[in-house]
Amino acid sequence: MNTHRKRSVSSFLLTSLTWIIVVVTIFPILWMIFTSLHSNNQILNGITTFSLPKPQWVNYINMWDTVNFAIYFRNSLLICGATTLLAGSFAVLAGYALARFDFPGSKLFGMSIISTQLIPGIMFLFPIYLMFLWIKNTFGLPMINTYWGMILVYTAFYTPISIWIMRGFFVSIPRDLEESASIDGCTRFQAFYRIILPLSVPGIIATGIFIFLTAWDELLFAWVLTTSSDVQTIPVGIRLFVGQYNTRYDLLMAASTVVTVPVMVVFFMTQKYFISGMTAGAVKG
Amino acid sequence: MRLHTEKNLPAKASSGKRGLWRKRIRENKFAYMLMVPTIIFMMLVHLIPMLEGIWMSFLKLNQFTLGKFLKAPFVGLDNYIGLLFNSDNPVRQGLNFAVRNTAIYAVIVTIGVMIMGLMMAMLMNRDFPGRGIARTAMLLPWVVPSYVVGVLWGFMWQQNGIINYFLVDVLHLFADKPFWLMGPNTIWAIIIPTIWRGWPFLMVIFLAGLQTIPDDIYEAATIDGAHKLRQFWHITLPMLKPVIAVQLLFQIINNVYSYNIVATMFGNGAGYPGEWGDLMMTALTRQSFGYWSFGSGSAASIMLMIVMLMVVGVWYRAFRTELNAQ
Amino acid sequence: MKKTAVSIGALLMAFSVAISGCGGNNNQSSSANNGGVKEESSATAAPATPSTEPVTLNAWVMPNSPKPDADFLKTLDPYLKEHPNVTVKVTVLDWGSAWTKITTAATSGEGPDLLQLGSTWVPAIASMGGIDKVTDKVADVGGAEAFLPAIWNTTSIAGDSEVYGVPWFVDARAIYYRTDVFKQAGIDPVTAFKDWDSFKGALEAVNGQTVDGKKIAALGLPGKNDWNVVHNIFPWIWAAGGEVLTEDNKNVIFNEEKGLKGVMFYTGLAHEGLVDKSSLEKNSSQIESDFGDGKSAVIISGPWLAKNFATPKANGGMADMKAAKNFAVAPLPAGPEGQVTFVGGSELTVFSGSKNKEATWELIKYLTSDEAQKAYANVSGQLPTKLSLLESPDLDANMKAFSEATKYGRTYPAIPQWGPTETALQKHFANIWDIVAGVKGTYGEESIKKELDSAAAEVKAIINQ
Repeated sequence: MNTHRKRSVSSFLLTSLTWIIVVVTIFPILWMIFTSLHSNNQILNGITTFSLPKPQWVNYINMWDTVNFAIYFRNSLLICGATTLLAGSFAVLAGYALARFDFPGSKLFGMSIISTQLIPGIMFLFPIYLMFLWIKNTFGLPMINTYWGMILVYTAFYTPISIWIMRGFFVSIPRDLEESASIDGCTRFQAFYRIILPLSVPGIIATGIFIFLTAWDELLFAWVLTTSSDVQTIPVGIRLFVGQYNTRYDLLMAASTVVTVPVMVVFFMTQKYFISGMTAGAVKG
Repeated sequence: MRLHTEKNLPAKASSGKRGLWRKRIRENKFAYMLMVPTIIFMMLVHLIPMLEGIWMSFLKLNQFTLGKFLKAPFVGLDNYIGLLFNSDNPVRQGLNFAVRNTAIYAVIVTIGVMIMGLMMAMLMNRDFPGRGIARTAMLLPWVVPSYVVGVLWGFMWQQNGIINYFLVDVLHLFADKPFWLMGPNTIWAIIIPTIWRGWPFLMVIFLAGLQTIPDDIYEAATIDGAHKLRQFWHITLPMLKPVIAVQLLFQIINNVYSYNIVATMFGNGAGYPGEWGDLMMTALTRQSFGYWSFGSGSAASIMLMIVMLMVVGVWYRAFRTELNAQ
Repeated sequence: MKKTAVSIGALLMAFSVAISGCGGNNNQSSSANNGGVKEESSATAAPATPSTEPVTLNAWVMPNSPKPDADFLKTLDPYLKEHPNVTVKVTVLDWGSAWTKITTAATSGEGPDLLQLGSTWVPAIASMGGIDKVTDKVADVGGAEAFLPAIWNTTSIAGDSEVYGVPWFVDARAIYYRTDVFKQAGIDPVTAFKDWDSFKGALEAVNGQTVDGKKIAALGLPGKNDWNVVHNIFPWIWAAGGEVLTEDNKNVIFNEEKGLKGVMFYTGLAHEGLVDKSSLEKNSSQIESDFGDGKSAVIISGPWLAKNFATPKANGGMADMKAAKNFAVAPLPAGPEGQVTFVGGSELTVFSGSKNKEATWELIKYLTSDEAQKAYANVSGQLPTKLSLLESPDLDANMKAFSEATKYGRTYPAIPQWGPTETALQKHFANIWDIVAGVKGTYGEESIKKELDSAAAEVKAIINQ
């Protein structure tokens, strides 16, 4: 009886601790939304009360016409969406190769995947810019300030790490499945897309979410490689609320909320897959 | 996380002989085909520009020679020597702080997210009312873009901001409201938001890892009289070691190359984060685009890469057994 | 097998969406380029007469006004109506990344047609070959005589007679003070801003006055987290008789005795309690907002603040604030060696990679016309650059005070290395604010001098490279 009570007390304490941490964790997000309902002047002066007599909803209207935010939103969705699909597909293919084959050069390939993560972006920012220019001048294919160029760069950025995630996922799928498939007369490719791919859907979704969120977050290359609002993404556009002489923090916070909330909603809807995908992949990491 | 997983050939026996090597390549044609798109993209975006970057580090590339780019005057190792040995080199003075801060930042953030992530994963692995909501809520910071995190926390850290309100007016931890965006405290102002944004992802990973540990191991341990702490040390941690190993590496890399939060938190994205807020990436960006010394910027980048390669080497040695055991 | 079909479908869709998405985009960007190509051919065919071929001009501007792109286009509206063949595409750069972007554009030749440059950036970008000479054309816009000299000086590289840009607007700084608070403290504003001593005396008298039940700080000034760190400090160095560089732009002298005196006076105001220390962490916007909110009685700012006081709250302005009805503008106090303020601003330049240089120049000509200057000054809250407008009698009282301030305005040496120099100065001046705030060593002539010296060493290395 006594131990039972002790256990329920400690369980209660642990649950309370969990909820305290949850509240502390989401507080900054709530604070962002709360801040976005204030006037510019209030934000600049620092907000330290929790009462809000007159929420300034107009910020959520003004943000769209002060800066042409819808365009940046569209561009981000397009670029990040396409990157997710491309990098995800590449990662599925290469991840499978790494997980299932011991081919000459597999170790080198694995190492170079890690090595790509060690190159400081700032070092090859300028070379990429000039290479894009060279491509345009040589092949007549515009790269700078195009969706193509951004998608190419982002796909190359996020493929390596996605390969790791996908590889871990494939390793967790028993090999017998393909072996029995090949006994049934399937070619390797058939075994891959008939047997393995359907089993990997949670992993693919998890990887996709990962790529999308990372691309959504990219700042430095978006700053330099996009030069007109046709292609510029949210991290570029959102900075335009920051003027030299007149900074609209109210709109900046509203825009931040607008940028975050849809991603959250999508994440809510897909997190089941994300967690199960990560579960399978992470363990074999 | 083996680099070569399932052996479909006795590799050791074949390795010396050319014919067998070729045969293995032929046999794995399918694997190579699967990697072609990745390799093309990596060549285009990583390899070629990186080689150019290495070449740039041997050039005198400043505002007057930038237009010539790769044909700028060749200065050999001058950029490296200037960074390593010339204490008058203004670029190097700024880098000292960045190196120190990056080391502190990367270590604390990595440890912080690992511990917080593991702790939360263990808390979330229990059954309690509202677990689903709590778990989803915990993941939300990871979805907030880091360029928003920088601006948002920049406001929260202000001397008259909400954090000081809690720390001083509610909890009375300090007598006076401290500055967080100036002076040595700056390093905390960038570490804490990074941990905040980073741990949810680790929580998912660890939660996933915990769920694969069979319950009967714990049950057996409980019958043997091992208490919770012992169970944690002797069951949970060892079982999670492969996961920890991989995440450790990715966290270190991520944090050493961290840029967005610092870049957006100070001076509206154009300011100097200060001697305690400057990280390698912000420093290198300033060096290249602020000082226009692209040559020494590249040299510093390459030295950073070499250091990081060594870190990866140490990491691999430390976790080799776990990595190959799977 | 249904699952198989789903997953294959997903993969295929992945590729097809990616491909079609990009196809669409290619069309778009090529259509944007078409204008340029066409114009090029027409320009070679008939360069003398203004072309009536359709032209698309890309303009890069900074967020100068509340709605940067819309405001710019509105200013251009009359011109575009008159020239239906001209289309202007505006891209707004943010100040954080503008420098990076313009550098890459200038070195690669891939960029806009019309480029706005901060006045201190012109020599640098010109030396990189990023912008075109307009020396033989400036007569079209009235030449040097038509513009404010302080800003005209920055259109050329020091020691070179070529002109690379045309001033667009002027950003000058002066003092904003609370008339009601000065009255309450019994201070006469006319004498208060005469020189440094009277200024400090006035601040001491105003400091701690109770306004609406709250104590008000005398002065509000931003510290290191501002983007004007350098512009905030230099007027005081100049007023104390200091200079950035020697006459020949070869030696650094701002760290010498006079410069130090200026820095000590300005930072001393903060050190001696005339400034609320928390403001040292803030940026200009926050300082302006504090002034609006009645937290400080005096601040140094530009003409845009007056406009902000006339803008309603819902549009991000401060018209509802008490300060909006109780402020006046005064010149900066004279230091031991005269009265100086910083005059910056922006210039319009023709990007060297442009394929529509003629059309771009026509646009610049329009933007510097009286009509456009007035219109843009109105939306941006900046001063026009033309002397005729600066001296025109129909300026309102606040603008007049700023126009007055431009007369003793100064700017930095027009050396090509100013870009890196300002980066270095910003870094070290930021450290000075750390010292003033008490989070880095002890404040004193010694520690400030040390920081100025290391700034000077760094600047010297930059200008001698």
